[in-house]
Amino acid sequence: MKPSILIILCAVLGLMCCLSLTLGKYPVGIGDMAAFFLYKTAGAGPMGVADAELMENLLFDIRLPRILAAMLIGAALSTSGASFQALFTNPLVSPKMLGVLSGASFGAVSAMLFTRSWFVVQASAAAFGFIAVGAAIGIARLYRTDSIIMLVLGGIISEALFTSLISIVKYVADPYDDLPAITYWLMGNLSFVNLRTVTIAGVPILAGVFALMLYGKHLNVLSLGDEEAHSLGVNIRVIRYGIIFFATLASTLTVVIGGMVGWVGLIIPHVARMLVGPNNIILLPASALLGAIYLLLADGLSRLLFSFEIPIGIVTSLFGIPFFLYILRNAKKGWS
Amino acid sequence: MFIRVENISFSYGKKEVLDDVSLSFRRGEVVSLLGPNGSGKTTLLKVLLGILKPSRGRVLFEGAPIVAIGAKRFARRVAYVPQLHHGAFSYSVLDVVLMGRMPYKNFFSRFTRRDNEIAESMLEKLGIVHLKHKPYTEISGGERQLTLIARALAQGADTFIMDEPITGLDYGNQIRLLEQIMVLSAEGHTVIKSTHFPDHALWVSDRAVLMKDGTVAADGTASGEITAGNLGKLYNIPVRVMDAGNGFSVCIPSSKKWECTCRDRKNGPAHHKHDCFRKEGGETRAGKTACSGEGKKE
Repeated sequence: MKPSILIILCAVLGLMCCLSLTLGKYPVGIGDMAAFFLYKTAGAGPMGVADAELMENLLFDIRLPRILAAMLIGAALSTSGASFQALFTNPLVSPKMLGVLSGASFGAVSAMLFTRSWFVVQASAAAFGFIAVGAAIGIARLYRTDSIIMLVLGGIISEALFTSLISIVKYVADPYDDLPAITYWLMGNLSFVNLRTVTIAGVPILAGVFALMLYGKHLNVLSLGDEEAHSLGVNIRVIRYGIIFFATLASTLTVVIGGMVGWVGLIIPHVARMLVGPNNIILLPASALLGAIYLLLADGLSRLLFSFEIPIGIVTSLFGIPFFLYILRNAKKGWS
Repeated sequence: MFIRVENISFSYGKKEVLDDVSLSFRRGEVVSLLGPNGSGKTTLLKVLLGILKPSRGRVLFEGAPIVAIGAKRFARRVAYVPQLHHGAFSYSVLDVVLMGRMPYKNFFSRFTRRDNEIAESMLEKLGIVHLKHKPYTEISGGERQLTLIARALAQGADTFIMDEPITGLDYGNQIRLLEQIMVLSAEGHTVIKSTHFPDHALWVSDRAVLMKDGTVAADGTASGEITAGNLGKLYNIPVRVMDAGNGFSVCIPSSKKWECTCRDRKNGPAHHKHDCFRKEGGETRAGKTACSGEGKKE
């Protein structure tokens, strides 16, 4: 019964993908797409060469990267969020628990001050995501315990540290040139996405997401607390740091692609839990699929709501909040 | 010896919780650890399980130090039944029991149909197979405890380490859990448990280990060690151990307060020299006036 939900989610995601390809200023119907597909595969059909080139540019260079980026970000943040919720035995935890999003954002915005090279900005974002999580773990290790509470504390400190560092960067940034770019970027948006970034970041993101899925049964056990996990023969340290590594990898790269996109990693795991229950073996793939669907939806809204595009991070939070209120009412069963 | 604890010391920071404790456990025995709060029972159980690393001393399992036994191999032999708790996530009862199959899984392997069958058969054995799809957080405390025992059985363990398994259960479930411990023992399992109920220790255990201030105060057969004298010293309260027939013993409080001799006497004026407790006409009275009026001079 529950695996069939995954199949349904896959189908919904596929449908949303096709639908998203048709969305935008330039109207592309399903018929146009079918004709284009026929042209690409069979080299024949009703579509002319000029039209086909336009379609190719529109679909592959503009729309497809965005769609892929949205799906990758949604899947990565939701899977990381679900993993962290089990790891910290707390359903109110989100992927930024250990400071990864603030760290990566700091890495990006501080690089924006010094360089115009988009690649440097992205590399800096990816690196600082790991540095922030490393700092959180380092702070926790200062006290020579492996307890999850210290890790939470380390994460709070690390996040606060990098958030204030971001403020410093904003303060010293050139208010006419750099500051708007930084502010706009921190809202999370997909308008700078290109196919190259998506493929380079996408491979490790997918690797992280699939690795987290393999940890499903371990996450179930870890969510019972360290003592029980230990008595069930689980090497807590190795497993925990493995999960943190892959979640950090996936999350920090979402910042590389689209900036800071909030709320997805907190709410989507709850929606997934309502659909398939709390068992992480099935919850993680369900979260990944739902996260991808949610971000496609948010991306569509961010493009269509107004005549101008609004950053996707705003949409995910703004629509996430009422959604979350509704879920809280219904999700009590999932995590009383 | 099956399990040997050799000169174990453990401290949380500066506070010494276990001080040079040595014990050995035989295969198949039911051992109750008794002692006041903070006497080190739970710490000792966690050291036995390898959850806590002792600052001195070592634990041997069938002659091998437990730190040298792989975590999975150890988990296939020794299972932990924790104190009653509420999980953060409402896994189904079957999922919780399936977790007992973790020691048989490598990183990539999945739970198989056989794992499912084992989990279900353990639920069946404990009479709660009808709960298998229920959320673990929504069943009663007694059912939760049985679920954890089913998980321990699914681990294939022959040694059960239980931390106050009775605590938090209603009266009926307490008795049912004790019965379950008897069944486990009859099947040859070793059970090492901590408890706050000397009665229960008398009823189900072969052996009692009395702990005080991180040391072993007494160790021997349950009926030999759970005596008025030992319990008095252990808990600082006068206790009487009474034969209730059928080889059963029960412990009752035995201070003058509780055993006021005037409560049955109807005649004569009251001249109380001591405090006593008395339930009369729906009222609770305590103190020197508790028996005033009708009591006879002592």
